[in-house]
Order: sequence, then structure tokens, then C-alpha cells
Amino acid sequence: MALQRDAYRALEDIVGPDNISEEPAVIDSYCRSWGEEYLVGEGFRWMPRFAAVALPGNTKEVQAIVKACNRWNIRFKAHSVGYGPFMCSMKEGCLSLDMRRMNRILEINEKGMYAVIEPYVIGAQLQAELMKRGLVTSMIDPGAMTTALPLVPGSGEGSIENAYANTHRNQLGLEWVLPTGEILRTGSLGSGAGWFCSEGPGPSLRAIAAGTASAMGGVGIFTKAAVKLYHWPGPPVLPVEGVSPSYRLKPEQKWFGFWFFTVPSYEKAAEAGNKLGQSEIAIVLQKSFAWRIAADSGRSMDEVMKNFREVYDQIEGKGRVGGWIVMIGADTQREFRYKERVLMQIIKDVDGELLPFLEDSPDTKLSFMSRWTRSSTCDRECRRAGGGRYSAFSNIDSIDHKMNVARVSTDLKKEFIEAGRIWDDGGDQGVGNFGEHGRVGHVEQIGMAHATKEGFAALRDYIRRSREMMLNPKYGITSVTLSTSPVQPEERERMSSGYLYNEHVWVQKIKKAIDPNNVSDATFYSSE
Amino acid sequence: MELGRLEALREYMERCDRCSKCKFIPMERITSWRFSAGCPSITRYNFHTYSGAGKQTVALSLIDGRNDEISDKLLEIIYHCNMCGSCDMACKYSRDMETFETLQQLRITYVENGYIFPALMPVIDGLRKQDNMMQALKADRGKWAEGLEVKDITREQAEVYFHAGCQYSFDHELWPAVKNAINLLKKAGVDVGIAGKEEACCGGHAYELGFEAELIKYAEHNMGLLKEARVKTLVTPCADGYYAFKVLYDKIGKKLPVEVLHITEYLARLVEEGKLKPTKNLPITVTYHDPCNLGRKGEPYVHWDGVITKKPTEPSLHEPPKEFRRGTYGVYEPPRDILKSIPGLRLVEMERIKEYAWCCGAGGGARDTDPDFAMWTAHERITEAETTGAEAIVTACPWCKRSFIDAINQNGSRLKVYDIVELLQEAT
Repeated sequence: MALQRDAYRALEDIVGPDNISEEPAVIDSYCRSWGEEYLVGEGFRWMPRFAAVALPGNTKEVQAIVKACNRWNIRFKAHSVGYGPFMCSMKEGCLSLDMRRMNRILEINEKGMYAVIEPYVIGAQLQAELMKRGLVTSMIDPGAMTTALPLVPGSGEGSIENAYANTHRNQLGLEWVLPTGEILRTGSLGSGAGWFCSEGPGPSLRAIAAGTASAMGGVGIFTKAAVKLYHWPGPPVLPVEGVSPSYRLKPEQKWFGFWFFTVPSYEKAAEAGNKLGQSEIAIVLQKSFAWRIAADSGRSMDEVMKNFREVYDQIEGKGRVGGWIVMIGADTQREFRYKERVLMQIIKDVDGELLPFLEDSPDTKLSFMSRWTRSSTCDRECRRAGGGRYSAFSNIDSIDHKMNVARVSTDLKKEFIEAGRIWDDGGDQGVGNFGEHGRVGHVEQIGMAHATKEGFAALRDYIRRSREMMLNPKYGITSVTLSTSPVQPEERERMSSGYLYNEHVWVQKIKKAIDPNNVSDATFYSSE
Repeated sequence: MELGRLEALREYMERCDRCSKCKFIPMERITSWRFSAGCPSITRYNFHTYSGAGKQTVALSLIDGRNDEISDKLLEIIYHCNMCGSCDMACKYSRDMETFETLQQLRITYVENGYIFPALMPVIDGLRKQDNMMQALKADRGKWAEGLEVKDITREQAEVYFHAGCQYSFDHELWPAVKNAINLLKKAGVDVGIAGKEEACCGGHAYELGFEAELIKYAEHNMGLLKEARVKTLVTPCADGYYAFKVLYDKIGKKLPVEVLHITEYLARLVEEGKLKPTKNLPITVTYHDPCNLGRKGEPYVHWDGVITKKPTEPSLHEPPKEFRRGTYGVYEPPRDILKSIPGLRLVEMERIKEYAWCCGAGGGARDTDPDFAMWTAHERITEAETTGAEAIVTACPWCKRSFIDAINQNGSRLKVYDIVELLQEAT
């Protein structure tokens, strides 16, 4: 479905002819990512085609595009580096706005400890520039190649959030082009006081901007945001050595350490997690399991499978629970020794055992430190072999609650493994990051299956069953569940009305209020 | 349209989930915002389509039957690319994929189905008529060696065959590098010969453009030449030639029965053995540019003939296990060893080096298909080199050297451009 010629010409005038395209090959490259067949539904191998793709270069262009969309009644869907069907619309004829040209780090304020960025700045770029100044901030777990703009990612959690907070919580001032084309500046920015604060004066708009599980492009376009920064105890350049795919931290990084220990039970896992959080010693506090350790230590999937059995035998094979990954960083040797001693005491207190697979391989530990700090644990773990994957049960809550969820969700996952429907990764035992020194966090159960009709059917069933379990108030509805539900409005309403205080109704009201012409595509945000 | 070649890569295309790592250098290697990009094509043109992931989706769309109209724009997307392999290396840091192979097979598929980028026709016509990629006369091929007392392997036997390559043979401004290479080899006592006007193109550049038949033709020609000459070693100063002789000939089942070395590998060996002694002081600060075809793409070809399993309870595995080419074993150290052996010379590294080096702009035929893009890419590299404080950028490939010279002529820079051989000659 093509745009009207006068509308296309108007958009072309705004961004320039080199920055807009309706070429079928260009459009098709925006219509497929991953998960369409099971997150959206059977038959969705490709998402509906956009009418055109435009690349705005600044806020002024974004604003002009949005106004043009209102004038010609064109739906738009903005996205940056993100991936997944979330960047697409369920309706043909939508205008895709790829924010790639808005990729500047506008300011790094060392004194005020914030950075102002545009949507296409990625985590690795920002981190590299921050480290030079002895600063750092959180990055989301899907990877350092995803946007560093705090509100955009679906869940906002990542490996270093224990010390540097969930990315959603790091959002400060925000510049936001509303679906009407007006520019809204929130927090201190809105009062002309700079970027340093996300709240007030007046009611906070953070929740409206963020949505229950990210606004998914449904409330307009975030064009700039300030992100909160933290002290970085490491060197100004991430000291990496080796040749791909075997990068590792240089061994002379004496004041950084990485450990993984197992525990006898989920109760002990909770106890350990709470103690580690309260001690405030760790940069990374991550519930983990055999598959993650094996997957990240192998150069190829073939190597992973070899490692997996060895690691599995050292955890689940011994009847133990995959406990905690802990990474420590310190400014001084004294500080490092203190943190290390605290960690060892906690491991002792909970009958923990360090994993021999890692303790026997200092090089693997160094490569993990490099990757956990900068890259992503997801890539090798659940993307490398292709196929489909779904992270179930991944809502954010306390450590005690999440260990309980880890236990019961493992049973569900094992049921699917035993039925031969999803890949046997040992049953998972729950994997996830905890943030702000253990105060909040999540675990998920990643179900993986082949990209086949049977594999996708298995994942759809896995999603359905995990959602049913999450409707039990003991476990809680996941943000991911909600974000993928709008395509099944009845189900969203069923979940929301029962357990989330009619969240869907509120979202619809908000949407109507700020987008009277319904031009900011609400797929994955709100049912209509 | 015959799509069998692409269909064979479907599994890998479907694995791509648009994570965008192919657009950047590996995340752990990023040291600044300014030099974090890996792929020149997406960096210049911005639409996702131009990235490795985007082109894989274009290929998937084609084999899914969604996009069978071959427009000029589509050809432009496919050919506004340096084929530098950066996307492939960045992807394979954590994935088991064949991103670059998809790009290569897309080009071959289009050519085989009669869709040829117009600017390439004169280049290919020239190759077919004159056996070179420079649209120059075959008869002039050996002129660079006039005055050098060097054996002609078509008439005399020699241990080492020196293949100058098309760019060095016909680009007069670059002749000092090849002349110096011969001088150094002779100085070290190497029994070296050339083929003069009988030397023919390696076919590698044509293959990158999508013309596979030309690669096969020249592989057979060169194999015959070497067989007749009974040489033991082939040495080339051209990174493209090295990639063809070492990697592509093996890939198409025509592995040469001789040792194949890039001139930097051979000279580094001679320096290490004490047969070449760089003793003259060269007080200069230089930075080294890794040519893509010598670096990440230059690692040996690894054949794999097997199946990808789909057992319900385990991930897809390659049976037998497949060794992916990830850029790990490219030629990175020999050029640096040579530079470090030169007294007084100081080597300072750019941010993007070795397997994640930025392309010079000449790769993939971009100088013909999109000259502005090729110059922009080269200029980006010159800018990066300037930030190191170096006085010169040194490389080991005539295509890179030509690109850098042209970029400096066009945009200006204080940097000098050297082939590594020239510096070694100066110091020896």
C-alpha cells in the first residue's frame, strides 16, 4: 500500500530524497527480525509491509514528519537499533521511521553525572566514551549493540544493573515528540533547568512514557534523553586482548574478578542472592545455569554442546541449583580483597560450591568478564543456533519471589523438554539479572526450538502455558507477556482486567488522549 | 530465476534476527563513538538494507518469492558494498552464520541470471579481452619489470613465482613497490621469477563482483602456468591476489599445488632468518592498515561437507562439526613484524585493526560501481589514521594504496602513503 504521492513528496522534502525509500527490497528488510511466527502468531513469517521507510536526522525533522502524518492520516512506527517484531506494525501501509541518523552523544556531564543521547546511540558506544571519563551506566542484556536510550528497550534489565541500575531507572530528562507533533520536555528539562532530573515539577510522566512494557512506539517518538551515570572502577579503555571470537580481559586487571557458584537448593539461592545484594560488593549479580556458562565458553555451537554436558554434570548432575554469577570490580587492591572475602564468606554460609569448569579455566573467566561488561550473554546462549526462543516468566520482583518462580517454571520447562518439543538445555533453573544491589530483578525460562512448524507450535504452546501459570497471583504477569499480547486483544484484556487493575483500559485512555488521530502505531502497546 | 545457490544458505539467512552487530566492529573492541562502525555500506547509506543483515533479508525475500523484480535500486544495494567482510566477522563473533557468503552468492546469482551492474560491463569486457581488471593492454603487463634483472618463469625455472597482480602491473605510480619487492627478494638470495606479459589476472576481483566463471578460468590458467614453471612458492604483493590464490582457488576446488604467501609473510620470514637486515634508521611514525583480503578474509578456506541437524531436543548442529571462518587466522602479524624490525620506525595502531579493520574503500568493485562511496570509505580511514599522530599510513595491497592516494588527493591530508615493501627497502 503506497503513500499518496503528495504525502511522499512532503516527507521527501523533510528528510531529503536520500533518506526515504519505498523500494520493495528496502521495505522488506524492515519486515522480518525474529519471533514473528510465535510471538505474533502462525502465518506471520513476515510482518505486514511498510509503505515507506524514512530516516529523520534531528528532532525538527521528526516533528515535521509527525505533523505530516497527522495531515495525511499516515500511521508511523519509530524504532532505533531494536529488533523483534516490536519494530513492525500489524497493519500494512505504515511509515517506518528508522532513527539511525539520530546517533549522537550530545553531552557527557561529568559533574552532574549524566549523558544526553539520541535514540541510535548504542550501549557500547556510550560505555566506551564514559569509561574514558571514569564513568559508566547500565546496558540492556540483549546486547551492547542495542540503544542506550533508557526508555526504549522492552524491559531495561542487563548484566551490570546490580551496580548501575535498570536502564529504565536511569532515565532523566526526556525530549519527546508527541503523536500530535508537539514537543514535550519532561522533568527538569521541562522547567528549563537542564537534564539532571526525570521527575516534576508536577505529576511524573515517566510511567506514561515507559508504558507497562515499553511504549513500543505507541506514544510518539523519544528524540533525546539524559541517562544517569555511575563511577567506573576500571581503566579508561576496556582492556581487551585476543582475536575474535576469543576476546578476553587482559590478565593484569587485578582488581576485577568473576565467579559462579552453585547452591544446594532454591532457598539457599535466595539466601545467597539477598546476602550478596545487601553486601553491595558486586557489579554483576546474575542467577545463572549450566547452559549459559557452556554457551558463552564455546566458539561454536558444536563446542557448546561439548561444554554443556561437563557443566551440567557439575550443577544439575550433582543435584545442585545453578546459583549466582558474581563479578566484582574495585578501585584498589584493598577494596578488592575485602569484596572477595565477603563473597567467599557468603558462599561458605550458603553451602555454595565454586564451579570447577570455570575455576580451572582462568582464560574463560577473563573472556566472561569482558563479555559481561560490554557485550551480551544472549548472543551465544540463545541466538547462535538459530531457531525460535521465548523468555517466559520474566517479570521484575524480589529475589525470594523470583527464586520461587525459578523453581516452578523449571518444572514447566522440563515438561516440554521431556515431551521432546523444545531443546534440552538442562531445564534452565531460571536465569536473570538482579539490580540495584539485589533489590529487584527477574528470572526467566528461555524456551528454544527449531525454526520449523513443529518448533514454532511448541513455542506457542510454551507461551500459552507459561502465561496461564503467570495468571496465578503468586507468580505475576510478565511485562513480556503483555508486550506481545495486543495482537490477541481478548487475552490481554483477560490478563489485565484480572491481575493488573484494568491496565489495558488505562493504556487505551492515555493513547486516545495524546494521539487523537491515532497515527503513532500502537502495535504491541495497546489494543484498539 | 535460478536461486539454488541462495537456497542452500537459507538456514543461515533465517538465523539472522537483525541484532545489528554486523553494522559495528565487535562490541568489546569499541573504544570510541567516532570509530565504532564496521560496515562502510550501512554507515554511508543508513537504510538497514545496506547492512549484512539487511542484505540477508533481501536474499531471503528473494527465495521466499516476495521480491522477484530486479530493480536498479536493488542492484545498487547489492553493489554499493565493499565486500570487506566486516559484517561477517562481527556477526560470527558470537554466531554460527555465513553472512558474507550470502552477499557473495547474491552477486553470483544476479550475474548468472543476467543482471549485471552497468558500470561493471567495461571492466569485465576488459578482463575477457586483455586478462586484466584495469582495462589496459595485455601486452603492457610486464612493463613494470623493465630494467630489473629477473627471471621469466615462462622460459626459465625459478623457485619462487612473483605475481604482481593487475593493479601493480598497470598503475605506474605504484611500480616502485613491486620493483622494490623484487630487489629485496634478490638481495636475500631468493631464486625468483615473474611471468611478465604472460601473467594473467587471478580472477579474484571478478569473483567478488559475481563473475564466478572468470575465477574458474583464471584459476585453471594460473594452475597451468605454475605447473609448467615448476615453482615451489607463489608470492604476491597484492592482497586481492593472495585472497584468490590462497582462499578462493581452494574454495572452488582448484587449490594450487604450491605454497602461497603474501609478500609480507615471505619478507617477514627472510628478516627473521637474517637474510634481510633492516639496519638503516627510519625515524618515522607510521600506522598500519590491514587489507581486508589479507586480514580477516585471508585466513585459509575450510571445506565443510555435511548436514545441519534438527533433532527436536537439541540445537541445530553441524555434522561433522564445522569450522567457521571468523577472521581469526588472517595475516596480521607478519606486516607488523616487518615494521617493528625497522630501526627508528614507530608503529602506532588505529582503533580498528586486524580482524575488525575498516576497509580502504576499493573492495567489492566499489571504485567502479560507486566511486563516491569508495572515496568516502577511504577518507574515513585516512581520518582515523590521522588521529593516531602517524606521519604515514602503510599498507600491503595496491588497491588500498591507490584508494588512499586518491582520497588524499581529493580531500587533502598530511599523511604519506607507503606500501610496506617500500619502507623495508629503504631500511635495508
